[in-house]
Amino acid sequence: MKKYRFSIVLALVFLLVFALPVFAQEKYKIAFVPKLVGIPYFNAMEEGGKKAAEDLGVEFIYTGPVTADVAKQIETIDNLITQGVDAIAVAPNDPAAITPVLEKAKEKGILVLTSDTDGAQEVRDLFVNQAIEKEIGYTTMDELAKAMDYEGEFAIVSCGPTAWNLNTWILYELERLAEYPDMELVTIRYAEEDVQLAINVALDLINAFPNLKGIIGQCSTSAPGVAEAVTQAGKIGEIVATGVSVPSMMRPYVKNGAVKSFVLWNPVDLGYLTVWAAKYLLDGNQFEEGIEYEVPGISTKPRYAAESKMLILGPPMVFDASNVDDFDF
Amino acid sequence: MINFQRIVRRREFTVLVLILILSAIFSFTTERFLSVSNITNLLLQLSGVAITAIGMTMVIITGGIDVSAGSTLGMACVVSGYLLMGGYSPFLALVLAVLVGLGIGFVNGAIIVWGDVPPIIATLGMMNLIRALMFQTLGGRWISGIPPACRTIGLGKWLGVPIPMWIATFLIIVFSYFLSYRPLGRHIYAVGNNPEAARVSGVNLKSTIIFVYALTGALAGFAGLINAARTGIVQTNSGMGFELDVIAAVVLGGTSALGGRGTIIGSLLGAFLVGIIKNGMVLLNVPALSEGLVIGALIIISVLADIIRARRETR
Amino acid sequence: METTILECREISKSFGGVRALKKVDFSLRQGEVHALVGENGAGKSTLIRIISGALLPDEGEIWYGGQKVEITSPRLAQGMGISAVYQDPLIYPYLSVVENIFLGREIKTPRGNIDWKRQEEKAQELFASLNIAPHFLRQPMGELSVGLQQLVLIAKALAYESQVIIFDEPTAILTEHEAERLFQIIETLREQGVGIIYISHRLEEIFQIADRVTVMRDGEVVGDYPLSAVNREMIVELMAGKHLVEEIEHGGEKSEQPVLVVKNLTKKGKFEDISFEAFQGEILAFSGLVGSGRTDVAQAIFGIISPDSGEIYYRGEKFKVHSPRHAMEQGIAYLPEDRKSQGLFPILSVSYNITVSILRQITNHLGIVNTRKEREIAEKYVKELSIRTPGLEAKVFSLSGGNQQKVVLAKWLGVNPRILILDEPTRGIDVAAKAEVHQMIAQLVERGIVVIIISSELPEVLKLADRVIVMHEGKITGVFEGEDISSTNLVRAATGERVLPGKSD
Repeated sequence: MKKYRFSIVLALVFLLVFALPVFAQEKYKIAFVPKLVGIPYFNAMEEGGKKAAEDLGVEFIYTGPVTADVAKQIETIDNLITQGVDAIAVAPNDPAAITPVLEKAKEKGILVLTSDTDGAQEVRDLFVNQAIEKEIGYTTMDELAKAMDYEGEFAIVSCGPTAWNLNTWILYELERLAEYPDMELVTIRYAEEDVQLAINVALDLINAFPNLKGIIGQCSTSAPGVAEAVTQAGKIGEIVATGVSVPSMMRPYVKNGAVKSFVLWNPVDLGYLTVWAAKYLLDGNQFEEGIEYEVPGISTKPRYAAESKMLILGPPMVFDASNVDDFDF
Repeated sequence: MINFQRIVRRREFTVLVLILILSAIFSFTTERFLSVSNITNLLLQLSGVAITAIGMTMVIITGGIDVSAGSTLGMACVVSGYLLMGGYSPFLALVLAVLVGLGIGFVNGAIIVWGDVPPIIATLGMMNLIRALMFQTLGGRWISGIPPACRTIGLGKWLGVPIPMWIATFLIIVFSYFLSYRPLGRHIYAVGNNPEAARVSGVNLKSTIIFVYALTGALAGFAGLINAARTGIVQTNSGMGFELDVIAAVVLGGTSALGGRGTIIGSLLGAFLVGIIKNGMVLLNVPALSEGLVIGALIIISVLADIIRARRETR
Repeated sequence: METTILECREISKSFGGVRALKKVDFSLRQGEVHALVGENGAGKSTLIRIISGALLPDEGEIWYGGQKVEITSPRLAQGMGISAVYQDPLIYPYLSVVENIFLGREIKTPRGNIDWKRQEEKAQELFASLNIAPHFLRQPMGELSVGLQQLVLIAKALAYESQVIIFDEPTAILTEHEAERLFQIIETLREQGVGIIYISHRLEEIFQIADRVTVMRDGEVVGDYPLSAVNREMIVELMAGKHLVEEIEHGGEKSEQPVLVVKNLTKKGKFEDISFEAFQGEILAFSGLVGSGRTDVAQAIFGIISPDSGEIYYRGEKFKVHSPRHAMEQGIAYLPEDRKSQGLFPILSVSYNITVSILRQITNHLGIVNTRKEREIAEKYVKELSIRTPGLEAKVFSLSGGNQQKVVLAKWLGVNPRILILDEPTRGIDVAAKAEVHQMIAQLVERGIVVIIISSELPEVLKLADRVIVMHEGKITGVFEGEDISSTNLVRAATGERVLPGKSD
């Protein structure tokens, strides 16, 4: 009985302590929760976010799980809510699972954004999209087709089987595949966000399908993984790897010929745009359809799609031997 | 003198038969299974698990567990990755990777023995601690582009068989011999079956336990170097979940999760079984997600069999 | 006050062929304190375990409150009003006293929540009826002294409105003051009409509080008297009985100098001021009740327990043991009392169990175990001790108790000890195996091994020992040699009477 009362008092005290900073703040606090910390891609987004925070005079918090784990991500967001941030941007590992905690944030009056990967449309106020999914999917397929000479078998090595953006890209890749009747997708495999696992999976695939001509590494860890597997299997020239990844990881494979070209946007710019957009909305502004926004500090002119409440960074970039050395992320 | 009935009743035999049946099925259904490149590949992927399983078998025989093996492997990857990138000799990388693993394992053992902390808690703490340390060291960056000349230990072949598998085979023979013929090796079983009786029988409990954890760490470190050399890439989550593969191999191979019973060769067979299932499912193009289903079910069945046997014996 | 509340009629119980109870009659009246005494293994605990529902009798009837009943579980017994307070209180140390009392039968509010207020009030009442002011109701049970914990368990028994309360050695762990308080409470309970079964080895206590005494020996009731009709001597005689034993002769010759000398060895809470000598060529036995400290003394000599003070001299030199391994290296071996927990590796082979302690002695210069030698050694002992096993590779758990014990013995003979301490060497093994083990012990003495046995079985001590040291509550209460080794003397010393050598009858 006593214990019970004591617990309630303790809980109230905790609530109060954590609620205090809400009343004491000055600068906007804008948080970004990546799928996982510690990989070059999200490091690049962090870099852009930091730069924007400096330029715009806001506080930028970059925090997230060490593995692409949705439960840990939910935990992180919960903590951010208690901390009382003004805006949370997140790249969800699992859109469905993360919805409730985003709703909770919204109830607390926090601006909710998704970036890099979308969540449930009803919950978030804005999706900062690196490029339209359709364009990424189509471009990846086109690059693969070109490299494979428009014919033969290919496989896809994706990462988390529940990642919405990866699955959507794959969907558009398959849609685009209709344009290339001589190409055939043999299988889709998953390797989590782990390069070494991706290498193992790709090596198995190379063995399983002797006629394989191409492999797509769907995320930033699996693309270098499949390229390394092609290299190790001694299949450079026979099998071509491509995918969506960062130049720093793909550079050696572009040089050794395992990769002819690959697809990405500029993640530094994406991080910058995320923080910029959050500040823009917190200041009370609204985005409008069709306008090309001038964002100082990034190289593209983002557009807004009102129907899906989406701010698009720009068209995807294709990297190959001619430009891969120009980027340091 | 060979007692066939006894051999047939052993878990190693069951696992071997399963492996043979699966191999037969896979080689009939896909002609790629028995290809040289596929077998090479299978052996390469197995070697890290097989090497670490040597130590893990001993840990589990003592009734303990080491869930920090994956982090230890990762840390050794980081250390050897830096050294190889820095142009140091692969031999130095090997020595340091093993030493780092040995150190982590020793601390594990010391916490368990002197702090009286249950093994799962001690090594769980260590697992997170080492992972955080890796994160600090790498600062989110990857190590990539390790020069091919330094990667022989991971990629090279001798007589057509990958060097890592030669190393694994050598270590398995040495340590199997150790477990059956060295007093310390034999004492490991006593510690696992009945620690109190082991103490009364004159076995040094503490040093035996520290030894098995230190050995597991050292072997995980060795596997880390091989891994780094083989893949040429080190990232923050290198080796994450690796400990589960190792534990699965050991448990499937007949080492009792209750302690006191198990062989290294059984763990090797367990590793083969898991490897063949994974490999075969890719070859047969079975949907990727059902892989976990099969392996998970196998582990539960094998532990249940173990517990049922123990129950029969204690009655 | 003369109504009989509980009556056991011709209760029999066997464990694997050994008769633990033979047609035992026992009755308890309301408001009576009925003492139950007897040597270890006399059947007291089997009887109370049957009464409290932990065991079912093979034959016989139990009548309770005028009706024939079957007590199939301790929970049922509690519900019927029979509670037991054991020597080591069974408690939930992190829960409060109130929770401990009402756990499993909480008082609830109409909505089904726990009614803490009523529970506390009820607890207050219970303690008040015991004349105790309960200031500790909300404290965690584990913070209370053992004496208070016992009181809480008595209160719990009252909460079940018990008609019968069994006390099993309740004062063994209490201070004198606490024991005094317990006696007052027992007095109060008696006045309230509760029937009390009181088990104790302290005969003086029984004369202080009991109304009636039942004496058991070898599973039978040998006497049931009002306390006024007996004296201490009579009870001791009844407990000891007449044991017809044939002494085993051995050809060992007692050495001039003692091999082991123990001086003033003390370990707080276990044993105090223990001094004795052990010679080559004689069997020295430690007798006394279980828990009297005999095993602790042996474990101190073997390095399992480190004593607080005192000295050990071994082969004429001062000797300090660091660990069992050290003791073994010095030629001291100890066959533990509990072979399941300290002696055997049940899922490992016979040969492994025999050689585990000597692996280091049979290695070659590379440190590799010589397996041929190992097998030879195992074979030799299997033959010598006639261990009945399907083979050297058979798992030990598949052997019978007697053969398991021989395996442990073989392990210790393998280390070639100078001193061999055997703690309860024949517990739980059948008669034939027992005789074999005794014969073996005699042979060991002839070989020049100093044999020290610890045994709770009087016949075993009478049969084997050349000299007997009796312990009671951590102290030596008697040393006997030759003619003085009699069951009466041993029981007197074991129940706490100081019997000096030479002054016995």
